[in-house]
Amino acid sequence: MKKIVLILLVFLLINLLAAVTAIHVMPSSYIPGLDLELMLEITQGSTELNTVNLQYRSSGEQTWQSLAMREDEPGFWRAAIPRATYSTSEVEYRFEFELTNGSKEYLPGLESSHEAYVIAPQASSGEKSSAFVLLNSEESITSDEDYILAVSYMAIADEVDPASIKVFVADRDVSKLVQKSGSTLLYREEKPSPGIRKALVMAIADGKELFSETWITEVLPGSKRISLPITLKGSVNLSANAYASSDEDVSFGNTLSDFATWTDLNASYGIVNASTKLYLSSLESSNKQPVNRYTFGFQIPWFELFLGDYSPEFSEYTLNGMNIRGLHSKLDTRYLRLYLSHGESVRKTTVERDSVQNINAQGTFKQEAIGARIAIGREDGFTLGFSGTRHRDVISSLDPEYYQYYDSQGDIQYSTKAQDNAVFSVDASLNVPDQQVLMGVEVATSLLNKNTIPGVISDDEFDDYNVDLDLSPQDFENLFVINKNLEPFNIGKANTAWKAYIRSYIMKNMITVEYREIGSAFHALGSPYHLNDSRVISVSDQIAIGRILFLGGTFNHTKDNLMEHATETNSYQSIQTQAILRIPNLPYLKASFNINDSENSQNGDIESDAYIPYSGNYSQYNFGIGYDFFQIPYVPTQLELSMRSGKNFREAGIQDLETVNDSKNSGFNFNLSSRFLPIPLKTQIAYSNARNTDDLTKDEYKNNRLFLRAEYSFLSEMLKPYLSYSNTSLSGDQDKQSYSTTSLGLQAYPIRNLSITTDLGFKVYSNDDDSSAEYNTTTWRLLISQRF
Amino acid sequence: MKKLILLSLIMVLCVTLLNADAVAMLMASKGKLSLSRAASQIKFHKGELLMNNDVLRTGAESFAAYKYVDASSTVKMFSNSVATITATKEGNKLNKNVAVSKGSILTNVNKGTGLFRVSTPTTVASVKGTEFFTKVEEGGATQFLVTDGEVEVRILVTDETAVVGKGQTALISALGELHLRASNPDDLSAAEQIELESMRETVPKVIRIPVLDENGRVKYIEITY
Repeated sequence: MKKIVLILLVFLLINLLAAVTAIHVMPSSYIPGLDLELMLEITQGSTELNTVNLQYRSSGEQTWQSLAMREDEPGFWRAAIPRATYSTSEVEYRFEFELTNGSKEYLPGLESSHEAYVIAPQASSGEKSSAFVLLNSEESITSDEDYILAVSYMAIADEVDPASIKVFVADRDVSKLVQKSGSTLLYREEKPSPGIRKALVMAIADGKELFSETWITEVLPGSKRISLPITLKGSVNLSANAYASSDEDVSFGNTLSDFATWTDLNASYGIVNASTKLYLSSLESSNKQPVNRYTFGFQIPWFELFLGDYSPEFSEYTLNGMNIRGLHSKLDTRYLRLYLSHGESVRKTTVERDSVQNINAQGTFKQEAIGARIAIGREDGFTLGFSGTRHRDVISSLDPEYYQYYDSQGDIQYSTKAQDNAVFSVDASLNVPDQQVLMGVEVATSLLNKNTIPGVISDDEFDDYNVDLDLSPQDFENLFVINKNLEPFNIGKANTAWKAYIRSYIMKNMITVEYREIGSAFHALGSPYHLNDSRVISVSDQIAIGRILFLGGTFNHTKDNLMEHATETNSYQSIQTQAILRIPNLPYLKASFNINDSENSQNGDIESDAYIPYSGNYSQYNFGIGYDFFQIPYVPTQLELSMRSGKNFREAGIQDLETVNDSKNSGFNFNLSSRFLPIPLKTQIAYSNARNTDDLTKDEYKNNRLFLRAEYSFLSEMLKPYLSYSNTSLSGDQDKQSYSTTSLGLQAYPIRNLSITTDLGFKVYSNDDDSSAEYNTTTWRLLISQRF
Repeated sequence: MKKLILLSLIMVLCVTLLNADAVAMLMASKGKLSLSRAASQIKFHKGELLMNNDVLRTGAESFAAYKYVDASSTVKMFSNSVATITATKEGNKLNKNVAVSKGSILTNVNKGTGLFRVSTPTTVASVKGTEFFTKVEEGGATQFLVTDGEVEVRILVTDETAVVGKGQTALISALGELHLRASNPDDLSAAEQIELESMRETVPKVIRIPVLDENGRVKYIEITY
């Protein structure tokens, strides 16, 4: 089942309940020796995006490398996987969306974030050629012998451009080390380290890219070579950003210079894997929530232990991806899994009293989290899990002056309240691989004490609440503080959350149906971002017909006010559909359609003047076409065209519904990326136009953006300077203004696996109607990355 | 006339450049082996690229093997042998020639991969898809022992030709006299027999081939044969 699911996800996936919807047309393959350019189009949820990161790794690696994508055009994000990352291996990648609310989503990614696109090393416009013949044919050698790759391309020698020949061994471009003689290539490596050597040759013949098959040789440990039986992998990175602005008060964007260094190191010794992740930033402050990250861990097949920063994923309603700095362990056997996490989830911070503005001192309590989970059964069969978490604000971590003060009557007031939160959940899943069905359910209940500072209540006070429980709150003080601030005092539907789902693969359709309800008083500090007092029904279907046609659609229905305690009930319906048609050697087509309806209704049990009926509709259509013009000799060019159109309508009113918003938007994007084969030049020309019309005011807002980029390579792509220019102009019924940015940068690969990228950018903002808002900024960025 | 000279110069240059191209690769060596290029001995390693007119010499209890760059043919040299390697490209095919002045070689040639000739002081053997031994004595007497396919032998002195089939041995004296008979085990030395048997190995052997699965991970296929 998992395999089938993965195959589907490789091509297309729409997240259920995702805040961001995006289309990504995966390249059919990558070209070894060249950066892998990737583009992502956000079709819905752009405003909720903070950043988009591209994460990538070679197949089989555990650790993701990450780099920030750039939004060259509105809604279109681009990034390139560095060519040094791979050459002979398949590459996995995914997109990470960091949302403004702090949560993260992935594409592809279903409920967990473990899925990825997988792309193989071939030419998008070329083909695998059997004309590359391996002369030496040893499947295995020892490290005492030389590793030899001898390849002949005699059959196509007359057509091949000798300068275009690239040889890759073990994800490394060794072309410069290759001895070329006639139509024979010879690469020799003395005393090779034990492991797998994968080799690949590529060349251009008659303007067409050709690739050999991937040859694999196993290097066994020899008797002469003395080496540590430890495999090390990882990277060391350093980045710096410096900003200068003519007027920091009006400048938009970052103005605070920073630098950071991070490293990830993975060592394998037999069945033992050890890993270290460190991130150190100049933005770290002991009086703010941590930016730095420290993680040390080791794993063996049935046990893992991590110290430091870690984001455990117990279940959706208990611990679900929130960082905890402490200790994390997992015992993993075939039929039993035990998880334990304990540490600090929030750091103590303080703000001193501002006597000028008469603001009291405030602070944030240090918050401790502890969680445990036991799961019984096989992951590929039936699993029953029990999870429990508790988050506690440690009152002693703050001096009282930072969380309480006395008002004019002499009564204690709290500027910050300490909380206790406990969540218990039971989940079950049934995986039937033969039937290609996965179903599951999770039920969770929570307790939240919104202020534990007054302490636990007495037994007499507890009895006054008529709770049908024979317990003394003081006996449980160390576990959980019970007092009048507990919400809810009686466990019931309000503090319960549950979900049920079924996913099945039937006749090439992957259908998912999910239902969830979140009670109005359900709180889980280890798993935030739930919409309280709501229920959601989701149905999605995804179809992949070969590698040609991909269709996907999701329907969501959300309704709140389940407890009927609120004045009004809001309901939302959304439909998201996507289609990608990619016939080999023909233009690919992509389309999406999103529609959202919302309305409210009054709660008949509550009379309130605050109720204002409304109904809204938002729809958006996107259509795109792209084509790789590989027929153009020496200048393979990629063309992408996208068009979009949308409408936003909302009406509201106490007596009669009146139109309060009626706007339309439309736009198109054009992108032309060319790679010149005779000279190492790459160019990109992009233009976008957006128009937003308000039918109520008849105002029209226009946005035009031009982006130009040229990149040239020297010394066999060792040095790649680039120049880019963008101009965004706003016009119509708004201030006439424009942003223009010029960037001059250099990417360098001076030694093996080392990349250095530096960029100097100049941005000028001009406003024809308000010169006081004008500014210009200078930005310098540096990123050094060494992989090993 | 000037054009003719220029054309000749260009042709000479082309031939020179062609001759500088590798024609074969040294796959294995054991014991004493020397490689001569342009009348000078050069240092070499396993995997050395062999050029036109390179001369390989094996010493006592030595062995060498090389493969032509079209990957079609392999030549194995036994003790005390001398072979000169040449090959010329014709279209997409490589016409190969190995001149054996002394000693013993085992040749394995795939079909349809260009001409393959084995020259000795007295004979020229043309082959297409064949496996056979060539043994040359000090005086020039030559012996062709065919273990697979067939070989056409032409005697240089008499211009006489003969086809030597599988299981047959052709004996050509230094004076060019041809004698054809059935092969017998005594025709091969111990080392030659071992090499032949290793190619005909019937004892089950296991080879382990690393391959990539659909997720890009290395898996192993074990083949018992």
